[in-house]
Amino acid sequence: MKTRSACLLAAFLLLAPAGAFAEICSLDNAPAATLLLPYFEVDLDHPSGQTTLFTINNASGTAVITNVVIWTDLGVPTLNFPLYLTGYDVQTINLRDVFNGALARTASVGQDPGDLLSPKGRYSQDINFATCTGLLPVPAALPADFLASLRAAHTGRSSAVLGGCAGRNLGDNLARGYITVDTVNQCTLRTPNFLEGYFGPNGVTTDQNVLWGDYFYVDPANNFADGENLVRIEAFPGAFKPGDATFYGRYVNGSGIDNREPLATVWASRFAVGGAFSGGTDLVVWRDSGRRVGPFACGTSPPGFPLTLVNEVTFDEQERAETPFFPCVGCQPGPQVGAFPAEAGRVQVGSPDFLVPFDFGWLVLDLKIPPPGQGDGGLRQGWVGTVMKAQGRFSVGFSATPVDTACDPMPQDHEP
Amino acid sequence: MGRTLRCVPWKSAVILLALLGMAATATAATTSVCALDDRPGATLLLPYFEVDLDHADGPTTLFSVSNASAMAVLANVVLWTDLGVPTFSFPVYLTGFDVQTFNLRDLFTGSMVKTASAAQDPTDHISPKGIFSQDIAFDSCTGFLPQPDLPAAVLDHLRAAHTGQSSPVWNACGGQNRGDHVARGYLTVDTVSRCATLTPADPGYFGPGGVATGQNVLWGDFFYVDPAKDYADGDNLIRLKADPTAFTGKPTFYGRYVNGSGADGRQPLPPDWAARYIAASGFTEGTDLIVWRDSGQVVTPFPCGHPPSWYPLLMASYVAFDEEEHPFIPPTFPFSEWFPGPKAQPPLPPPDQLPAEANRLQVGTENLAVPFDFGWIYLYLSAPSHVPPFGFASLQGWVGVVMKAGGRFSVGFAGTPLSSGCNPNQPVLPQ
Repeated sequence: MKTRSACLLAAFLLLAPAGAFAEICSLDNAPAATLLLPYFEVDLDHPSGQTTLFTINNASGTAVITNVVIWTDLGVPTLNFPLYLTGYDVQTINLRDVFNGALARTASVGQDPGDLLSPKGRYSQDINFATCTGLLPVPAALPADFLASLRAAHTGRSSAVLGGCAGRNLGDNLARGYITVDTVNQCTLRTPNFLEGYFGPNGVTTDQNVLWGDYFYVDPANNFADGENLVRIEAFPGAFKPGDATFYGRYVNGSGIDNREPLATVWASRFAVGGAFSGGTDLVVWRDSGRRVGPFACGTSPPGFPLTLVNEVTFDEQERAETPFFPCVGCQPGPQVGAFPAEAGRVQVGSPDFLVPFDFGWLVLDLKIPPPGQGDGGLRQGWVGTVMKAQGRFSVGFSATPVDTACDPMPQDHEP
Repeated sequence: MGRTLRCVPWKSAVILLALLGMAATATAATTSVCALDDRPGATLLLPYFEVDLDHADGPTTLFSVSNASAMAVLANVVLWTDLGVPTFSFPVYLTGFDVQTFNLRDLFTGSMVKTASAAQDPTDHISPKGIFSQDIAFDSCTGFLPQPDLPAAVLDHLRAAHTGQSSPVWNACGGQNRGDHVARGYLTVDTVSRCATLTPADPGYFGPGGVATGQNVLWGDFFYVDPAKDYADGDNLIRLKADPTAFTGKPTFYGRYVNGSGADGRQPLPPDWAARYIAASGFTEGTDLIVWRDSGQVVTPFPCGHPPSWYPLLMASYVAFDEEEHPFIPPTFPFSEWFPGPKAQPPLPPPDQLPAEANRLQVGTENLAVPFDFGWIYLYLSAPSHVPPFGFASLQGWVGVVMKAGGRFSVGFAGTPLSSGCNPNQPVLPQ
């Protein structure tokens, strides 16, 4: 009887279309077709230093292929690899392993007939993706020259493979960037920034809202660990028309054919710089530059960078407000260069990069980009997370509060 | 890339803040009120709290309540025992864009956060405000605000009720007695129109003339802090959006208190959740699940030793998968035993499998057994009814995850909902 119950339950899980309840334009934690790890960092100098871990889970009994794409902090894709998930599978990835050349090794039935790489349980589908032959399992180790280029690209140094730089060089040998994970119908070498063949009728992406997962920032030396759910970006086929904001809108010329809901443009976050949280507060921010970014000459910045801000207001606990940093003359607001110049970054509230006049309170960030004439662009989406730290003791991370959605963004005002 | 604090273009700030207030108060212009997202809500839920009353440096719970709008609002904070009996409520006044933080250890030692509207605080000493923030008078709050520190009798009541002992106010019990003198329960925060001693369980709280409002302006977070172990983890408070017209006759968060009428207008939570767990490797102290459940009952104080008839809450199902997707259906899985037919009385459930409305339980322990060190767990949290026809008394719940490395760090985050509270998946019953 118990076996029968189990079978029925598994059948129920299989039948329940994960993501069928997804709410369009809502930043909820429902399983999704795309996962975003908004920022990662790996200390390449210290094996016991900071690293970032994340998991990818399959909420359905159906096997799926995902395309994991690693981007620099300025939005240049540097590496992608397929990850096969049997039904209800979970894969954990420590990015330190990736930057040491070891990728997660999975394989569908065609490449793993003995189920040694991707074993499965009795309720999980395990099928063959013939397109993965030759691509899965990924090599046990990345070639040394490619690995050197990968490490260079994510630390802002010249990458031989890319023929230039691709990220910021902050002089600390921390590999930085962000990651996307998309459901796809075949193993592919393409990434979302390809001009064609990734999205749309002949594209490789699918709209299977089945992925969930989480991520941790771990700093063993400081006894810090904090984390949150990966950002789940649900797909809604046919819901977005040309001109609508979508998550990958910059790569589909605003056509909406990626079907992915966009993020928010305005965020609110608490901060504490003192008290129990003696290590202060970091903001983790992912931003959409609105551009297809390619490698650039080292020592320069790609077009459109550094990114600017529309507005920011900081409150203390008595609701005194400051709008702190328009570099203007006679209060003529112009493009703001400041704390969040990249697509992916982490900055400490109260540091020289992000001065605030208070030790405690909350702030509002409008991540839209000033329009032409004052900057570059217009509507841009983003994501904000908060990490509060007690020096050497603990840290707590959680997502900030979205105030709008890019489906219906708060308007921006730029009148002086 | 550094910057300096310089001239302030107030007009731009004013416009941003005005828009912020509009965005915060707009309900579901483009998104459904059923979305379980982090937009500001009309109700906040702290799904579980614990305060070690014996050790000043022991575990405690902190939370914050923020107002996303420029308009001043009143919030009603309600403490509930882990079995769902309301024990205490108090109003909190928030000026526009206000934020208030609370350490529940302070409350359980009698110290209250002081707030007051303009009527009780004309000189703005208690609830000061910034130039963009509204500060108005709530005349109904005179006598309530500023909240005095708790008298000894109330404090004794609170400490007893939340540790499962006999409350001198009730002369009865209201929660589980786990024998450890840790105060446990959960907490709700609702936007209200006036100060009152009401809770959601009282008539006059919801509906026409009720004190509850549908202002979707509240946001906040919570932390579990254990200073002795250097643990701290937390997440956003659960933000429940209100729409006064969307839920007529439908399930809602406070449905049990409005006879299912939908008069509270609050979105419901889903019943089915997924959560990862680790019981080895770097996380040497394993994984705790934080689980809030709706018993579907209006719970009142009970004679000590005689908990409500629905206690312990049964669990419809859980399945644990390892990283190779091998499923584990617990041997105590109750379907076959307590659903043999419509006429049978279900036997006693397994002990302490998330038996209360607010729970914290370590994965892999006797009460939530899994044979694996790593994987994920599927939970269906509906509360089965103990009485014929043995249906489900409620279909909502919430799950959080806390992973711990002994004496080093802990990480907390929400589980993954697998359906919508407005359109929940149904459990599968053997035929």
